[in-house]
Amino acid sequence: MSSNVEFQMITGNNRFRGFGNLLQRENQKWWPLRRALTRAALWVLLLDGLLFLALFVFPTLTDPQGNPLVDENPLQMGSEMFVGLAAVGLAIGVIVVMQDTIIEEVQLGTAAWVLSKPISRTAFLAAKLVANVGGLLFLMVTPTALGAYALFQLYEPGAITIPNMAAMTAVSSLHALFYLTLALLMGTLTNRRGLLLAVTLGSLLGGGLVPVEALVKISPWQLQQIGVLLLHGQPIGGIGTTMIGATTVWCLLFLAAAVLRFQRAEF
Amino acid sequence: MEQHFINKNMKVEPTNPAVIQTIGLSKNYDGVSVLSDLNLNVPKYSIFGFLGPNGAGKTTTMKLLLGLIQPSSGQGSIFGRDITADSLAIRARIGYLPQQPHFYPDMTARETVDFSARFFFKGPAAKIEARINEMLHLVGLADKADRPVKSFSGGERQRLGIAQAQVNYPDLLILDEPAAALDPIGRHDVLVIMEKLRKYATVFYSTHILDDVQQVSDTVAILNNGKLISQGPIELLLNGEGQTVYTVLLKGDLPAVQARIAREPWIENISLHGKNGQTTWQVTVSDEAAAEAKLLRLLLADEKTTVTAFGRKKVELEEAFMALVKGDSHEQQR
Repeated sequence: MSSNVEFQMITGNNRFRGFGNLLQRENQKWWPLRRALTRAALWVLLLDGLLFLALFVFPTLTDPQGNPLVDENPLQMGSEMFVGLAAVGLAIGVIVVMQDTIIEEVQLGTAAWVLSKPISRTAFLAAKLVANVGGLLFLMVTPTALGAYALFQLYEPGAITIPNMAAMTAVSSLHALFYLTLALLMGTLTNRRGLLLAVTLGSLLGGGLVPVEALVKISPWQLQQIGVLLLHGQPIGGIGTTMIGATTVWCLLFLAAAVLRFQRAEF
Repeated sequence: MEQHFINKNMKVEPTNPAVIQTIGLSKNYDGVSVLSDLNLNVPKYSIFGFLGPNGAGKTTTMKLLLGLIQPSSGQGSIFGRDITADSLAIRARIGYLPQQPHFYPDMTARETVDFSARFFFKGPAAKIEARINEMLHLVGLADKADRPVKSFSGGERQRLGIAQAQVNYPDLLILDEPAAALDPIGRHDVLVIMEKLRKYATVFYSTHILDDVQQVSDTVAILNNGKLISQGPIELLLNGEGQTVYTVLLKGDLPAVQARIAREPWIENISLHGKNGQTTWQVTVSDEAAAEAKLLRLLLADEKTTVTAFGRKKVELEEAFMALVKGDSHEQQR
């Protein structure tokens, strides 16, 4: 048995100790090239495929009398469909990915094993957050946004500007981020996938039905409407700004609560 | 319990300084105590066997030491550092094998050990690779290094667990049932590894396999129902609960011999068991030196009596363990 002198030992009580190694591990779930390309292609096919139909196929459909089946402006219909589906689809995507990110590790015992190493619990959570946000932005959001922009340009050059597209994409990402952080928090609060899915999907699918306007203003439930306005360069008003600000605050609160809860978790 | 080799109230004075020390360490879940008032003292460079029936609190103790759970009361230290406040620094010097090791199933054995290593040190890739190979070779997994963990049997996972626990050459190895899933050869290999490590590290391990403890441990602690009932050097335990007892097999005029011996002031008790024309005596003495000098002579002095076996009673660990645990359980029921 030799000694450790040939290595540089990692020392210190850094709050993010172990983060790099953990992030590398988490990224392996997203970034093997084939898996990454497949995921990106599926999201492009799903979201941009529908936009393609809305812009180029639905306007050509007619009834037997020759009347168009869809009266609405294809650009308006397409952007509403795209933003709405992106909001719901991406949110469901991150919920599905995140539902197991902590619960599975706790149940399998890998969390206890990893946390017996000299790593901080904050680093454990941060690695999951950063890897999944990266996966969301680079494999789900960006390819679909680029595809959508290309389709809009193809349909009517200049109708959608790059800044407007970027603003809409940022709001869609924020919407998905809300559910990502909520799922992360739920993963630290419960070991029951059913409860996690009930809370996150309940908020996503049922939030729009909440009749309390004040609550809607400080939630992400109508962010897709703000996204459509931004895409067309229209003003979002105070309500839109409040929704964006409130959703950002929710994300930060969920993260802070997840870190606090995870510090006290027992394995 | 009236007597045992070193009980929880006695001050333990190990020859080596303690690596692990706990004072009144306790853990409750919803008001139910799973570990109560644990005062543990694990000497440096010992192979410390941590014994107890299922549910005794062994794994709970290990998790407390590793900071995976928080104590309800009491305190503990490892390398002189507080297990709660300095957990990160402590874990940097520890290797841990969980009771049922679970690793990322998509990783290979090599990747798993590499993943573990990178929490402890950085260095040239070739050196790290060499360390990983050394660990895999040590546990007999060199030929399976590039197989995914999901294809491993329970025993292979256990071996991998031992490899990853040692990759940083820890000062303290905490092994929760290290030989539980292993076949006899694997168990033997683990014991050999533990013996080798004695020079470099302290090994604190739990097990149900008392034969293994008897083979390699120098110090043991026994836990029952969350309470420490004994701890100390294993020789003391095997000598029979602090008493000096001689086992004698005899034939002949036994009542006369018994009467004569019983008059000696250092004889505390003689218990007799007869079988196949032979009688076995268990002679408990209060003065070990006097017994050594005189007991056999007194027995042989009578020509009508034949002594076929004579010796200091050594108990098997299993016997001592059962006696302590059963005794403690009866005491708790009273």
